[in-house]
Amino acid sequence: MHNFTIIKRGFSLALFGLMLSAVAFAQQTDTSQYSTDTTTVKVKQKKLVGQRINGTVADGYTNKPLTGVKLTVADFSGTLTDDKGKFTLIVPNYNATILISMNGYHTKLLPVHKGKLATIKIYPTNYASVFTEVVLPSGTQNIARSASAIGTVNPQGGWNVNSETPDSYLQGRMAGVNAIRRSGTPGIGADIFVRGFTSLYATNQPLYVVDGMIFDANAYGTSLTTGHRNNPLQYIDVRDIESISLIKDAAAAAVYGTKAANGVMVITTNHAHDLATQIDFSAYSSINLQPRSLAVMNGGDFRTYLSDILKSRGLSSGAIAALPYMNDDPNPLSNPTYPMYHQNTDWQKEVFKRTFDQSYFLKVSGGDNIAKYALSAGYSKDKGVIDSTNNTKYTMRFNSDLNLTKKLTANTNLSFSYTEQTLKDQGISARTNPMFIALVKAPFLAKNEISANGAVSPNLAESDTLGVSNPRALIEKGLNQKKAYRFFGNINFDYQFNKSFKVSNLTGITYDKTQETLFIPRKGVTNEVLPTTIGDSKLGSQVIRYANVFNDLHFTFDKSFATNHNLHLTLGTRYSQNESEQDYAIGYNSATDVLISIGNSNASLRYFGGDIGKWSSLNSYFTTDYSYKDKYYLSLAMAVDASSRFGRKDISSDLRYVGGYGLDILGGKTAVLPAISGAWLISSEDFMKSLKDVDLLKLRMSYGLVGNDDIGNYNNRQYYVSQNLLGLQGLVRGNIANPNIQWESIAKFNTGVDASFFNERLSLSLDYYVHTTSKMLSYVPVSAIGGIDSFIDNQGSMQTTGLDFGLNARILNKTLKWDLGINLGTYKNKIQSLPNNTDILTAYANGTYITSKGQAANLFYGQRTNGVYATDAEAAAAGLSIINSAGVKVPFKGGDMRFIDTNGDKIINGSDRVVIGNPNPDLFGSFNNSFAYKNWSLDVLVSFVLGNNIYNYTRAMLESGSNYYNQTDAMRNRWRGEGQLTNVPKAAYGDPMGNAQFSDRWIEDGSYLRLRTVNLSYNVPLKIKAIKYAKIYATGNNLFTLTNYLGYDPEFSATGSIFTQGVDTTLEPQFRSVQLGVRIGL
Amino acid sequence: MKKYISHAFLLLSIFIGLNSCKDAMEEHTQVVNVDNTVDLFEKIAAQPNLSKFSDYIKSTGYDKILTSSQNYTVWAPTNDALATLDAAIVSDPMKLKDYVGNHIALTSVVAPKTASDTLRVVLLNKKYATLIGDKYEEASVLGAGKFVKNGALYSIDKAVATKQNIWEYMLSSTDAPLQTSYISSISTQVIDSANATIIGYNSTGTPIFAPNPPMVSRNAYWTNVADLRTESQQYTFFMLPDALYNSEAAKLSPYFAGADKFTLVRDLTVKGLYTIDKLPDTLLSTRGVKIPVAKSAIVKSYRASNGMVYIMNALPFRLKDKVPVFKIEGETPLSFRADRTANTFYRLKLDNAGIQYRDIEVYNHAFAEFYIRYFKTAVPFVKYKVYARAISGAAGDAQVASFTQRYFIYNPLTSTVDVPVYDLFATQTVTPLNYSEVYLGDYTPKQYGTLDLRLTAANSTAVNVNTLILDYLRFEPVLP
Repeated sequence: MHNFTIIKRGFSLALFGLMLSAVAFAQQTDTSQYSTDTTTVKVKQKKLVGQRINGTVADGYTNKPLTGVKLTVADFSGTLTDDKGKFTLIVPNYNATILISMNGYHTKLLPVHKGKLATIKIYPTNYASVFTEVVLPSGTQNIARSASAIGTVNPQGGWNVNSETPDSYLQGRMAGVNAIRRSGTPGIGADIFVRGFTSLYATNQPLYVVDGMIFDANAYGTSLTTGHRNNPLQYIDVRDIESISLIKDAAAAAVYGTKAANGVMVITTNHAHDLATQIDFSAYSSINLQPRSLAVMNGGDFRTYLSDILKSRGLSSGAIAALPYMNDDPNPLSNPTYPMYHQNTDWQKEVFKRTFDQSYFLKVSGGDNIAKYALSAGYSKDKGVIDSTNNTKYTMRFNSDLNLTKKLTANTNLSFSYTEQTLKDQGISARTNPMFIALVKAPFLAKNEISANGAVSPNLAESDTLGVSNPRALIEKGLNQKKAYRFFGNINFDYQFNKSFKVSNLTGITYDKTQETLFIPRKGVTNEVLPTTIGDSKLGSQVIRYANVFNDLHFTFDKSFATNHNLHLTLGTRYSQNESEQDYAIGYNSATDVLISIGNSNASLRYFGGDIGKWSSLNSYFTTDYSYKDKYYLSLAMAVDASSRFGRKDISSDLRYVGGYGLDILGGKTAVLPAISGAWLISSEDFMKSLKDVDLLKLRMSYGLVGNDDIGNYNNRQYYVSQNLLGLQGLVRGNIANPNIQWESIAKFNTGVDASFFNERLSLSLDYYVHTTSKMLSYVPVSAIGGIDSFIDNQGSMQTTGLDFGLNARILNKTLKWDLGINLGTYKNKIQSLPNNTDILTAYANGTYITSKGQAANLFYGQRTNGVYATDAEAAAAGLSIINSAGVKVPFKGGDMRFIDTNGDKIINGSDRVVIGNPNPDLFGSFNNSFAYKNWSLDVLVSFVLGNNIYNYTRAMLESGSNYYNQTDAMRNRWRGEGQLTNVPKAAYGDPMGNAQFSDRWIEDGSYLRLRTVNLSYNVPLKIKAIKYAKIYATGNNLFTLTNYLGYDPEFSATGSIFTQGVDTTLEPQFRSVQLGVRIGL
Repeated sequence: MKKYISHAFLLLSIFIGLNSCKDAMEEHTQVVNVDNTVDLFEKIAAQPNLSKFSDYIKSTGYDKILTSSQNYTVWAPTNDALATLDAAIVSDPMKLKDYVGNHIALTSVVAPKTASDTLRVVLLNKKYATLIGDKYEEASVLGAGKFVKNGALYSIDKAVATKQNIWEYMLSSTDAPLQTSYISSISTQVIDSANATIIGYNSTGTPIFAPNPPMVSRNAYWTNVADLRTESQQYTFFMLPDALYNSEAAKLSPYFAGADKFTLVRDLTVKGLYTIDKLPDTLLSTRGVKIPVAKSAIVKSYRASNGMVYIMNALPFRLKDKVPVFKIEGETPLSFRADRTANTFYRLKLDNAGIQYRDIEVYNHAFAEFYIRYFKTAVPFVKYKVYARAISGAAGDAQVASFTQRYFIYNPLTSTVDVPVYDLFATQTVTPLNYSEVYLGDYTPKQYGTLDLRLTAANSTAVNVNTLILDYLRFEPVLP
């Protein structure tokens, strides 16, 4: 309780400080000086004139004095603590700032005020601190000095995570980042939305920069496996990551110009820190638990439902009773199909299985003065909960640091990863998604063939008479194989001309290849209807390649002058050349189910296709970081981007301003994107010195422009696409060329405060931002006379505003330590303009989204309902009708949905649709609790999303009451007779009254709170010399989810497009897993 | 220490709180109406005023059917209604089963019908029940229906006994013995193809049966008029007491020598159910003959399971309905003298009044005395005025000149088996664009029976001379 009171007091102080800040600004004078980059601190030995200060430095964790902590005043003086943690230091005056640094600890900035310093506490690097050093495009920077909005994560070796890719790992780790795991499939990763979204049709994913080089995380081409996306981020092992920092605003990200629209995620991989050889080995094994089954009807309930459906189809009761699955005569002579149609199979149990994972990882680092190396190798075999799916991954990384000459240094970052994945179709694929089939397949059928006498054959049963495949056939005989690898490597040379001038050059290449094989068997799977024939088996093969050459050359200049002024300049240019190619072949009807390669398909039905892309970009950038007295910071950045994707015109003049912050250079459009940011470190001001509990208080503000160049490779030119007409292949025009097409321009305003109190026991940061997208890509409708009904142009605009909040607190700091972390994010989106002010209606999975001026983008748009008419009389009184496909007006009757006639014309049709939900959350974030007690530590991460809506497409299929699909138990409540009060309409084949159409019946609250990970580790006290340490881990993933959502799981992302967000298309759900592991250091 | 305990307590209570939350999925799929969890038999057994019917269901074994997973509807008579049930039914297990089966249908009837809406449902004893408004046959539905897991339950205020169908009633009735005995006598023995062994097929695909196949009796009334045994159809059937039967048959015998009784009875069946209150003054028999019905002439009526039976003391057929005008359509020939398919045109044209007609033309067939043969059976023995319509020279017709065609009619009296004799009946000169009927002459058949007619071309092979065209021939009887 005591702690909370302190926090509260600190809070009000901080607010007070904020209010005074404007008044205080005018009073400041100062004299201290230091270099911004802590790694290049130089201490001059000269006769020091100044004030002597004394103090003690202690570990914030243990409160024990630390020996050998380095204390410096930049370019002035420095000292080390003695064995009791005490130090004496000469400072130029009482306005100076001391840097307190030690290996393995955060570097702390401390303003010196007159009087004796209290005990200075510094924290190890695994503590969430505002003094964390982060890697930014312009170099390493302490967050305490940054004017940008930065989020940071330190995976701390990532030893306790398993089956996580860097993107899914980020969930709940940073404020303002909404990481939505795409599905439960191993390696599939997550869609990362940093502060909402900035674009409708271009990407909304952040830019990944790994070790200084752009890491292309896009999946090129469509997978042959429905619902699957190749995730290149899985090639990076979390255990290889040293730190992840995310730039959320425009200031620090502006140097990435037209690629930085959605933030920049800077990932740094492990390099050797010590010269001594370190060997780390870890091994894990985990068990993945089956997801909880959805409650679908049993055989008996399904048969009464089926007879209702058949009756509504017009079959007489006699004809229904004569159907084999309705015939209850068990005599094998008169009814030989009795055993075949009278089983009670739990199909979900046939598809979902409990599985086991294993993972091994070895890391070796070491070296000498000349060369250091860090080598890692990993193997993991992760299984999904869909039977027989898995992901086998091999990773290898070699990072080195070389001191070639005194002035020339180099480092390399080379990685190679290979995955082999066995998948199954997911998502909207009614014939081949085993999860969907398991839900809709009649429970009275069996997976194997059964004879009249009830003998079970080992042969799998054929697809059934109701038109549903056998999921076991897909699992046992189907093949969705993916093999992929990526080489991602770079070499970086630094040449230090003198103390302040450095030139660096980074050259890297990416080579990525994905190979896929597909086989959908003939037996047990329903046929596919092709334009000219029936496809009974399907075969496919695909190769996707991506290659990139990247170069970044830049000069940096660091200079301190006139005692209080500090300058850091960077000027550089990046060149990136990319190529992607996709080639596929799809065939049908191989002779038997054992001939599964594409060459065995029927030659006349085989077709080939692909996609090819080539693009390059040149990004020149300039940054200036200036600080005065280490209290006032100002940064300027500017990028000038040219890209093969931008529009191009005939040369009219050499240089011309084209508006929208762009220039025409030699006819090609060039983006000019500036950004400015400033920060004020209030806590270093003199008037703050009495507030000993305030360690840091900083105000930040930034404004700048960034761009989004994901506008298609060839939209600035006219291209042709192939088309098949009656067996003849030809070319038709594919688009209307737009020579004016350009990057989307996003103006980002950000203001925030960073604060830390009580010796860093409590730290927090709060950010407010406004993202305004102009020149937003949109489809402009044109008259379809020309054969093409729209073209792409930069004609829309929208705005996203929001808040990020992060808090870290050490609540208990005795033998039992308790750290609490809170991350929150919220945003509001508003469309400001659209071409011709026309609403955009997009359709996905039988649902509709509306994007309309003045509203948030992509809102669910459908009918509203209000229960079910109990009687015909009640329906007649309401007087509503539909106009059916034949143009006939049909009134609603008892048992039909009571739709709300919004426009009052008594007809229920498309014009009655209204906004019925918003897939964007009101609030998202996480709570993180870490406990440490002696050799034990416990981490509990709880992530949550609040106030988002989900369109449950799966349930819309399972409660449509309009076909032969098995339904959920809720269908037992269907209206059966006059006067029944229920909210489930009657069963009617083909849904003639549209009762199952897209409406608020299928919109659900997607809020959830999830016990994302629980990790318990024990440091085994060892006295064996050969082993440095041994740790045992137990980790639980997704152990507990609190939600009102009615599907398997409320977290999924069908595609990266915002127009598919929040639609549950039956993807592999997140599953619970428990793992045990050991880590040994040699 | 106190703090730790309070923290631990807090955590514990959060977990307990979370676990005690009601599961959303269970809540969603929970059955809201308790009726949707019970089956029909349980529902019936739970109703105190249906206890007798529930006992009958149990004793007849229908309880197993009503607990199965198909949808049934039960119209259960209340205990009061069953009090008056015939003891003979209760004591005979077969009759009781039939009786109970007469109240159960393998379908779910979701709502009582409106008075204007009729529904027929097949019952488990293979009979059909008619639902009109809130009436189940003659009983009334009490209160609202109850809908359970596998169907619907209605209680009714009367016991609805199993009804005979029209055929069963006719055979058992003594009201019209002559009619009954005549109808039941016109049966033949035919091969029971369902049970016979097929040993092969002949060249036309007709099955060849093993020697001495099983035979069944088939009544000509079923095949030629209506199968009055069919439960799924509804008929209204008239029965004539002997005196009326004889007098009506006598009226017909001059024209239908030998077939007068069949001619009478074939027009006693009407498709559809006409209860007395809905009986019009004239009905149309299944063969298209008008039946004048006077309600005052109804002696007795019976509501059969598949319709109505009326015993009449008068049913005055009009002779002109029994001996009607008939037409022979040119485009429906029986055969040709020779195969001239390429020269034969079945035409669909518009006449001068813009009305569609179909006819036949055989043009440029290059065959002297080519003929088209027409056939008409059961032609009453009476004098006819015969008219023909043949239109040539219309747009698209190559025959623009006048030509002559002749009509020959088979003479059954002078023909022998080897030498058929056709008498010339009329010669017609077809003039172009004559859209009106041409009177050919009077014709009196030699006897009741078949009319066999040849439309014969000129004795020439020349084009435009030996053409044949006929829209129709109209035979108008000359009645007293």
